[in-house]
Amino acid sequence: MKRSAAPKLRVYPALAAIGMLAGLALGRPELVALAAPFAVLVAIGVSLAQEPELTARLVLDAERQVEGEEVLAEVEVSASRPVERLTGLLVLPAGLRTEGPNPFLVRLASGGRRSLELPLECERWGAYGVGRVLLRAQDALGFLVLEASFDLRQPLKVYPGGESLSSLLRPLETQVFSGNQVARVRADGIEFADLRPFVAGDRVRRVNWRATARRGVPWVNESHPERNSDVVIFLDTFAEARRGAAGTLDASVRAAAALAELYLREKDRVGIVSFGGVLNWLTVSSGPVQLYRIVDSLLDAEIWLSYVWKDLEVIPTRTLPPRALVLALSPLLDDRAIGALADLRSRGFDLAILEVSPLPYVEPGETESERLAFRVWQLRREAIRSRYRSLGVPVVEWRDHVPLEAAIEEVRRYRRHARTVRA
Amino acid sequence: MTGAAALVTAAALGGYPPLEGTLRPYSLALAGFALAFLAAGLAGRWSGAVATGLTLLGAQYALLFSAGPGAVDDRTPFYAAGFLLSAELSFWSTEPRVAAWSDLEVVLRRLGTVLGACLGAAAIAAIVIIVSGASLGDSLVAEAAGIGSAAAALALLGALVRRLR
Repeated sequence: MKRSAAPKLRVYPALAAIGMLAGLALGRPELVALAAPFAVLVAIGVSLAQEPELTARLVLDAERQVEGEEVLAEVEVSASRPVERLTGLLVLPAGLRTEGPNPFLVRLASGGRRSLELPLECERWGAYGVGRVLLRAQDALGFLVLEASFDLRQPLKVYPGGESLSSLLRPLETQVFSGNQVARVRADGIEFADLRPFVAGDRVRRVNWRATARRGVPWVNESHPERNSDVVIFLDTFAEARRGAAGTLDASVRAAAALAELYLREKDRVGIVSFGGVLNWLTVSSGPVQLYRIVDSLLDAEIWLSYVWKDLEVIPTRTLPPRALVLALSPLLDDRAIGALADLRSRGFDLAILEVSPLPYVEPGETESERLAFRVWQLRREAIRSRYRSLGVPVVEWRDHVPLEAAIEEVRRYRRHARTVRA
Repeated sequence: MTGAAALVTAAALGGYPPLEGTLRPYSLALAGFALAFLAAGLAGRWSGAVATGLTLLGAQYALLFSAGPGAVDDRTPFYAAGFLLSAELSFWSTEPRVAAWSDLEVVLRRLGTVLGACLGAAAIAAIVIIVSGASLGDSLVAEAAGIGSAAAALALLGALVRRLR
């Protein structure tokens, strides 16, 4: 707790002294009369000034919340002695804001406590520490100022929200575990695939009696098994385009969370690679716990400026399992990420790129040369897309305010007609 | 709002000596400087400028009596109340401001305290004026006692302030 004197505690005695000395020098009682109230006020103020013991408490009604929703913060302040004016401020990190009274001004009676409810609006996803409370107490005449800072930080995780999906992009190949996806191979399953002549060892219950009766020899049904798949979400965190509170990284994180949730609901195994200045990864796994792991990992996703050249060699091998679908979310702004994605395709990974378009965050410029540079930059981006397409990689531009579903559908349509190229 | 009220009060106080006394141009110039310092202090939340403005305002009032011995100004209690009001409102304005007055009671209590202090200032000034009018003889002892008590009061005040700081 820091105690300090208000500026007027220096000024008022000075005014009193000047007035009294001037009154004595000029022999005028009016000047003494003018100065005396200041002296009396300071004497009363200093005599009555007390130093209260300030305490603060903070309670958040939730530790986790979804972006756009509210968390209620209850700030309770108390003092051992009366405080005429207590100003408080709950320091909020960028990404959280409140419409409530912050800073607030209250009066506390002796031993009294006041509780204020501040609705915190979670504007942006992220992992926050909320709870730095600053208090400033003043006595009735405003001569003494007491300042205290309380570190009551509590974790608040704001999960990305906003994107919803109903259908997913299916990998070209499935894994061996059972899941919700109809595999291309033929084996025991429910989904009908084809008919073939009976061979020794076939189960009788697989015999197709109608085909057998028509052909005179036994025929059996073949089916596709239901398998799961491995999906790796590749998040490019080398660079982003940002304007104000919105940026390509925000859109990528929201899309990644939505994709991970739906893939895990479909019993697939999902992993994540956050490839940028700092490398983060989670190996593929399934189940609701993995969803929490992925979302927690996404909360740490940040753009770290780095000039270190990185390629796929830095990614642990088991992070990218064979036959996994790699779904990349990238603004295609950094050559290292662009090169790494091409490298992934070269290594035979089933790759699809959702290009989180930086165009909504970039102005073409005002001068002719700026507009020309903008057009050249757009052409360069188109050339990058063509390069990927020539490798058989679908690249779909996803802009802000366009549903993710539409972008996924575009990738699916591309893959339906595209030919797999082994680069 | 408190800043504007402080400036208006100071302007009203600054208008009083030129109406009453001699040396009108000097008085007006001092009032102008006082208001300029006060306005600058309020705009920049700089207590040093506020203090200078208040000192200049007091000096302008002292100019009233520069002509020599005369009758006691019976409006001094009102001037003292206004002077304290201007000072209080000015320092209120230079404090770190809370954006939202979340508790109206606090503001009303503070306004009440300021107005009470002003009434008290008027009463103290009136007492000083009345006491100064009482005939205690024109001796050197009385003069010395007056100077001594003023010095003692200032020393006591200084000690109290030091204790708090």
